[in-house]
Amino acid sequence: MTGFILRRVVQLVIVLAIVSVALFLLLRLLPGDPTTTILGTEATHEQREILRAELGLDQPLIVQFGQWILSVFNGDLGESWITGEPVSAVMSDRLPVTVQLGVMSLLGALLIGVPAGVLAAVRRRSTLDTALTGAGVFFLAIPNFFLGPLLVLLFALSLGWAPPSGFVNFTDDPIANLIHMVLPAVTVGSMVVAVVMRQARGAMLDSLGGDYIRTAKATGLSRGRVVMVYALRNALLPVITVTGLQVGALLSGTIVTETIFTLPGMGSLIVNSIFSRDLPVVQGAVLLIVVAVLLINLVTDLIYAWLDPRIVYDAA
Amino acid sequence: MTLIQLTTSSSRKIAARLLRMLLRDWRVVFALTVFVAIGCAALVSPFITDTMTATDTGRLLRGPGPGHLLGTDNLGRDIGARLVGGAVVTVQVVAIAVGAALVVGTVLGLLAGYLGGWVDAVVMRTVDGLIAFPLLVLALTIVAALGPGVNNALIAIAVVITPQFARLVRGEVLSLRTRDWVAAARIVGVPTPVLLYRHVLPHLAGTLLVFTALQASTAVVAEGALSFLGLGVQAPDPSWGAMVASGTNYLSSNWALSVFPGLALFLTIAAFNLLADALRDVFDTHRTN
Amino acid sequence: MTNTPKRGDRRNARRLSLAASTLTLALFVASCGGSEAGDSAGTLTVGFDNEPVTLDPAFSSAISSDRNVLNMFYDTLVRQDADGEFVPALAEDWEQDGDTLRFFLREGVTFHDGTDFDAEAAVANLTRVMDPENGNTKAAALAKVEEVTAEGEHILELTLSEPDPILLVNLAHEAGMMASPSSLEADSLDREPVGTGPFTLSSWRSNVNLVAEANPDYWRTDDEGEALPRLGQVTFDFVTDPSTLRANLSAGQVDMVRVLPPEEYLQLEENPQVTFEDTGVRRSYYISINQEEGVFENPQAREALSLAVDREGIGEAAASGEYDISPSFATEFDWFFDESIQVPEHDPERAAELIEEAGLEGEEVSILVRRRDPDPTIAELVQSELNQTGLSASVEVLEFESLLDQMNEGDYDAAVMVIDVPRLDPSLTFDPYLVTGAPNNWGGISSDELDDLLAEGTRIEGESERAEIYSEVQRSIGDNNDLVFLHQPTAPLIHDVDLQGLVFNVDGQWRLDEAWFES
Repeated sequence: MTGFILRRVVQLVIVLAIVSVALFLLLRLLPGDPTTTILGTEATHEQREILRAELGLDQPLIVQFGQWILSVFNGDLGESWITGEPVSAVMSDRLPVTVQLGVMSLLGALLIGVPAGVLAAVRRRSTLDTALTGAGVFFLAIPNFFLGPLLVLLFALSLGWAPPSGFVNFTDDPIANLIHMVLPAVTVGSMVVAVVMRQARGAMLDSLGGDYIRTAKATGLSRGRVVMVYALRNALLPVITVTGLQVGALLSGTIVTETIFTLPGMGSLIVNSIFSRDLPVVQGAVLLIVVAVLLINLVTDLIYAWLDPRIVYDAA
Repeated sequence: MTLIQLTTSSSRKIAARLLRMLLRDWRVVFALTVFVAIGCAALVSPFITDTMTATDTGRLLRGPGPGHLLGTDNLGRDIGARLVGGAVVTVQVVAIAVGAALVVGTVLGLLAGYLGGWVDAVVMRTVDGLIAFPLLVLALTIVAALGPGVNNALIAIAVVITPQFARLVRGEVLSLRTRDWVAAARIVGVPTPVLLYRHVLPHLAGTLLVFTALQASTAVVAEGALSFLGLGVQAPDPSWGAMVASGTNYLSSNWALSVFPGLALFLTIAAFNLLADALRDVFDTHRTN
Repeated sequence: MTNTPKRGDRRNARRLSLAASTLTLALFVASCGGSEAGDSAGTLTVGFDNEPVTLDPAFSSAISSDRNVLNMFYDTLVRQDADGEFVPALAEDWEQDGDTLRFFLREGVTFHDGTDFDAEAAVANLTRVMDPENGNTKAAALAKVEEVTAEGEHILELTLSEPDPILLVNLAHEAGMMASPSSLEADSLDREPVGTGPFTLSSWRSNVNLVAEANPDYWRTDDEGEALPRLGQVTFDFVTDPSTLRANLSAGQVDMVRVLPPEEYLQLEENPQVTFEDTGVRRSYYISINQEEGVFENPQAREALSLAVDREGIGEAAASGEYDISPSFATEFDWFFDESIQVPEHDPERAAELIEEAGLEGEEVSILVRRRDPDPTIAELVQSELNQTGLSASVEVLEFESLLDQMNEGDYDAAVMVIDVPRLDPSLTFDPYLVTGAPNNWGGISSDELDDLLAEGTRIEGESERAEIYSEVQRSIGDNNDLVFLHQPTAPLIHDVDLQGLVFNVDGQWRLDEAWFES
């Protein structure tokens, strides 16, 4: 097991190195001039040159990269070119919103998706199964940038049940905070629900068809007990893996969703920063997201390995 | 050699049988209907460019009705015509971006899986690096670097999807490479490219087909999201994602502006997903038989 | 279709929401405006589309909107009221004596950091603005000031190199804002404003919001001698999307919005909780034209552009009919507005002829536009109209920074732009856009006639004399089609009916030190 963990960690470090080089190079190609952003429209050419030197933009690329990586290792992601705030401070401000949005949609997806999938599997080929599978197809196919506006149209503009956008800090007013997060969480979670349900249904069907279930049934255990205790436990394993793999998709969803609902999270931070050419913030935010995804995938792998005794850790 | 001929001729028969099975599936029929509609729209669209771009401030934000079946947008343009025009981008995304990703990804995957060694290491580490990015985050970063526009969006989508194909193909090749017929071909001295093309690739066809359908749906969503954020197709060219975005400002005055292009996207994505499901069912049955 | 969840009095609703968790969801929504339960002084939330880049007044760049925020934290020596009259502020009195301008400073005023405001502090602030080396954006405002000295603890003296009719105007705004000397030293004003103003900064999260608390030691009182400010807390929510701003206003999440396009604010007209105040502010849309290279180097092409655009049509599509048409940045309320200047008639046939005569058919032109509604709509209409003249136009939607960058490089043909008018003085409206080599003269307008006129405009005194000069200026831009002026959407200030006591500058921008909520 130690060898397995070690190998996965080494892999993760290599991937991170590649990611950071790619990220750095890619964003240096961005068009535009940050000095305009900082100095505004009424600055002279000389003022711009002075600032460019201050920002280190006149250094060779490799030097800029070296400096960036070194400071990243020191936990210093640089300063925003626009606001001068430390990138880490900007992100620590934004991260909780995205984490909350992610957790709410993920929990919602599991709480709805798993029971729905199990139900569909147990009642295989029933009307309920067809309806649930149909709903799954629907939520898998509706892009969140379309679902979001539809939800706003229906629940905010027509029914007035929820605010159309905006954000309230949880610490200021927890209830208002949750009310503001419901529509965004539904928007982000819709696709994950579909994936989880589909996976739960499939895994449950496999599991229900397994030998040990037949044995359990033969020993006279009740159907409900067989489903809940034996089949479900085995079915949950692949569901966990798939859910772990959905974190990337979930974060993609938060980008569009935070933009629609104007939530101050990491997604809207990235989009805003791209549009204002705030490279250090884009770099820092994308890097943080990638690290988070990699870590979550690692943890998912480890949980899976720990839960499933069939995995051979020393396989190539 | 007889062994090889036998595989190819029998695979042809199998393909014919699979096709018959597929055409009896409602999901396939639905998908094909959607594809034909999109194809026709894309073919018609060059002839109605003027209609889809003609602005008229005398007929702003009309609801669906006679004259303009689906209504007009915030510039007085015909929504129906723009819906038809938006099909072109969708076709481009699938044919160009997904097509390129399929070819490049498959070649990289074949080489990495079959050759192993440093080729495998280089390809797979790059793939790992790219896959670590959430899809839209990577696409956004690329488009931000290259500048907005439909061509750059297509490049971004291709770059985002290619590693997915490479990883899938490599995994399959690793398990195929030790099979008898591959070993046999290698021993009789079949050159590597031919070997990969003739003896490995055909066995991947089913899996790749399913996967391509799924990736096509991902690609359509990605293009929609990029255009929604304003980084994809640029005005006055129509794109469904951009139409949804411009419609969000007018949800209460003319819902048609967002809803019709949104539906078009929804149907396209559903078509690819259902097609993938149907294909998977067919190939799974085939495999277990 | 505006859907207002039951909007009673906002503070009542808030109290209810605290008391009873069994209320309906709709009421809850109405209750989440503002932040935590405000004290008796009240909490104001402003929806603000143009987040300042910096809170250092000497480095601020958005000419009108930054001041809304800066006024919270800084005071000036004198204030200019809505009628253009100068009234005492940090200076209780002042006198002009030939080339010398002497200010008698108010005593007992302290900065937010506790240090005293005195003549030395004022000298430090003004010298910093006068220094062309430190890259501040306001140096031109004090260009005619030769020397600033402290003639005693509370006497400040400015020595001028030549008369400057708009010096007091400049001193009453950004260029004359006073910050604590220690924060000037630390160069930290950009994120941590320390002035003598009615509010102190509590927190600022970029792209999210800015929270300011009442300054308990504020020196100003109202006419009855009651302490100011009256509001306990002010929050600026930074939201650029107009439909979100409108929705937030209608749901009571914000109490006031800086600017809304007519398309959005017309949807609020039926809302009894919202009131409109036309402070005379207009959004003046115009097309900046690159006349140094490309198609529009040709004067005939510029004329064609001016004739091709349908100003009324654009106003209908992008301002829902709520607009004025003006031949320049002047609004009809301005003293330098000249109604004898004609706006070009919409004449697409003549435009097409001009393009044909110039042999420019099929030539490509790119139109740049900022990525903020409704600007792209306007650019698309201009594109469509240009295509009908025989040109081949494309629209490039860009983030503001990249757009300005590209314009600074001269890498464009035309750009749809907008400024808030009126400004404090016509020289501030015209000079940056028309003087040879000026910062906002992206298209390379260079005319000795224009330069001389504009210089004369800042030299002579007297409104009617100056008005004549600015008439000439406007005629000249129109004749040469240096800029093409489009429509001017009305931009009323929209706020909660209970919000009272807003104070306005001469250019229609507001201050909050006397504002309060009527209960």
